[in-house]
Amino acid sequence: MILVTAVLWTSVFCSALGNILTRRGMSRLGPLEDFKPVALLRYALAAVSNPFVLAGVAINFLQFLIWLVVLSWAEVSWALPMNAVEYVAVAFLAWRWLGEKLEPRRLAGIGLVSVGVLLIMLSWRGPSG
Amino acid sequence: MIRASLFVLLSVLCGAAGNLCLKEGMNGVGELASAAPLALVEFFADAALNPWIWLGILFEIAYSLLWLAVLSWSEVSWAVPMNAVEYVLVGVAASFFLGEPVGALRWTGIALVSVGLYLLAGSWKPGTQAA
Repeated sequence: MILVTAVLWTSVFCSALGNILTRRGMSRLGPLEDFKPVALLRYALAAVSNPFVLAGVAINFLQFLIWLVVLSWAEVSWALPMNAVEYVAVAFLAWRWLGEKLEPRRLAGIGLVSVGVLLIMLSWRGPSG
Repeated sequence: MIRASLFVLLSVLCGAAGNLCLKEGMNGVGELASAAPLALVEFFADAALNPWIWLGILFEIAYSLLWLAVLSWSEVSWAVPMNAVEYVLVGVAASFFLGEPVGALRWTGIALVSVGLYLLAGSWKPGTQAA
């Protein structure tokens, strides 16, 4: 049980970290504005050759593998509420490391979404499993 | 904000479709019975020959590209929780298309997530360049 919980937290942290790194890389690249095929290809190449994006995508892939292991051990309904934890973790890390400003409206949104996801998860743990 | 929200929705749909295809494919391949080298080769060969797996991988690639576009426009504290739209879609689809009973607790959860998403979506602002 302790092992499952530890792996679960690792998975959540990897997912959050992967998104933070990817965002850092993509913000350096600048917003995608040109949707012409050649420009898209050039942008995609620039994205996958950015070390932050590469690291972020690699960590998210690693997280996907860890998640598969978690799912083979734990009930889905038991493991999924961790998504709600991830929203909070991402917001915290984005604030600390990327300097994103969390205004009241965004904080309220993240809070409601997280509580809502937890309720949905609780409802899945009924008699039908 | 509308473009970013639309891309979040598209990426969530692609991700969900990808997972369903991969699951369908892996059902066809069956469980990994042993870790013997030959069994492993057969397992991955079966997976690589399964059309559902390939369709799933295509959806996952589309998901990744759409997600990169979202993260090029938006702050990550906005984009990641926006993924919760999946819970609303799954809940509503299960109720309307599969006739699955959705209890009061789950409707409450879906309602909270929806209001949260509404607040969140409105809090979008162009991501500032990281130093």
